[in-house]
Amino acid sequence: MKDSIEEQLRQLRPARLPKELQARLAQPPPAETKVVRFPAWRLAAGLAAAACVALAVFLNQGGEVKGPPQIVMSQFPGGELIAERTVAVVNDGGQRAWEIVETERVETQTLIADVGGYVALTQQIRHDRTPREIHFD
Amino acid sequence: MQITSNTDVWQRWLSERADAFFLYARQQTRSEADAQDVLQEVLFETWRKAGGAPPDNAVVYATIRRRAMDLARSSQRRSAREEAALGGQSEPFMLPDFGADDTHAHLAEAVGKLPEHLREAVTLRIWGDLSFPEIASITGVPENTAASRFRYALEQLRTHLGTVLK
Repeated sequence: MKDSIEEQLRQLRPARLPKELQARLAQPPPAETKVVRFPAWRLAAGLAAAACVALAVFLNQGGEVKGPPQIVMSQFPGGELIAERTVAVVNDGGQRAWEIVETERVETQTLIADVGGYVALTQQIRHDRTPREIHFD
Repeated sequence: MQITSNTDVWQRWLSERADAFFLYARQQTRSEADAQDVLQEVLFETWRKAGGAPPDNAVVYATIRRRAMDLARSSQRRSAREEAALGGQSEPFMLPDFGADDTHAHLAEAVGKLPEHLREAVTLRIWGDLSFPEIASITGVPENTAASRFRYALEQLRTHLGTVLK
């Protein structure tokens, strides 16, 4: 059961925002986005290197596929960060606030058959969500 | 399907919550101008960090408190005369309720006279709609302390009203 004083307090309404503050808050701020552009020259360099390896192996091996492909080169181990954004803010019940950060990474690998010289360049986009503590300073 | 713009969501959120946020900002700062600056900064910051959506209520109150403390530390060199001038221009913290009896006016005045830590508990609980665990988290005290501060504040208000309405 609620206290009568508590009930009366709930009937009080805080004063309205001053007009000048209302004007300052007329529009929401632009959302914070951190976009890291994937440099095109890195992709081009990776493709060129893969093509060279493919050509060399093809010329030496004569074009026969005999075994499972092996990873001979991995561009940017762990993936290249291409985008990052905050998707939520949560409080852990203590004094700390956390933001949930979504990251997008592209993993590029060059696959090559151990015999036969076939080469493929693969790319995978990986999404991760990780908590990061917010510091208020 | 109704499409709601980001500005509509922002405005709806402000119309529901901003008055209570502003009340808390005014209690935590030394002047109206400081309260307005802190509130604007906090609303923008928490909105952005929530990815352009209404942030958690408790996060906003916690951020207002921290920003106000930071501002107080940085403005300690302000002269006493300037502080007094700023403090004297304060507007009423509550809307006048012309339909109600004197009880509401006395109650609003009594809330303003509560010790700071008790007033904070009342503000966060009544107008902030926060739970005691959330209030404890924001004010940095155990949950039981937050709850007992609130109960003690109600006792003081009850005693005050009993005295003035005799």
